[in-house]
Amino acid sequence: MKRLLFLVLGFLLFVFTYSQESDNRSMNESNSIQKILLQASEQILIAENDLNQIGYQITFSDREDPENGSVEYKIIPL
Amino acid sequence: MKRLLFLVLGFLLFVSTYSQESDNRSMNESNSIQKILLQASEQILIAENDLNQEIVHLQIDLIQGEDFKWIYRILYPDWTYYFYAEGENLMVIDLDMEIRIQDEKTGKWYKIDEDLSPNYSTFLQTESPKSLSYAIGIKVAKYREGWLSGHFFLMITHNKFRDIK
Repeated sequence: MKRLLFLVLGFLLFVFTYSQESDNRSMNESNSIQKILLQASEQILIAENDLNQIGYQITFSDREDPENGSVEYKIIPL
Repeated sequence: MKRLLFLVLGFLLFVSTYSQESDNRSMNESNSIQKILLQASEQILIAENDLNQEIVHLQIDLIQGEDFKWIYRILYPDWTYYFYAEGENLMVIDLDMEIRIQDEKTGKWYKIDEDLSPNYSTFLQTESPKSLSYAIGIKVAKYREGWLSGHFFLMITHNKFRDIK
């Protein structure tokens, strides 16, 4: 059931992204966390599905400076 | 380019999930953070693509019992900050949020706002008069029957550009 839900939501995420009308986003793309989120997602799948670990905390955070931030992430597995 | 990358990686995520051989995972499914990650992903797309906001902090975490979990952050002037949190909706019925500010002289924390609405999501916004330390508290007011802990995510955003006053 959970896998099915993940599958369906993953597909919706895929379709939603694909259906965006334009790449002309006013937001500077370098500030988006979408790429690092997908990097993290891949590692979460490996940790939980392949290594049988449990990730209980994941944090994405910039450097707290609104004009010079860069987003990093960390996963804390059990 | 970024959108294309996101598209490709999203597809790989989809295929990777679909190609799993069996649902017989030894891990208890309730422990997985995959569902709350997907709840967060939906809100990330809305914040970045629709609302043109910048996400400065995203935290997915496990919360237990009825205690607050605190996340600390310095907020800067000239920005309106938005705080949005959701509980994993299979576990959490009612999630609450509280924001406290630290007095520079005494070091004591004071509540400045809270959202106690009876929903699994919660939202607050604030502006900081100057650079100050804030504490954002997340608390489960009500779990679904049989649950004593649950996942949540907190997303802190601000607009792409400084506020004009």
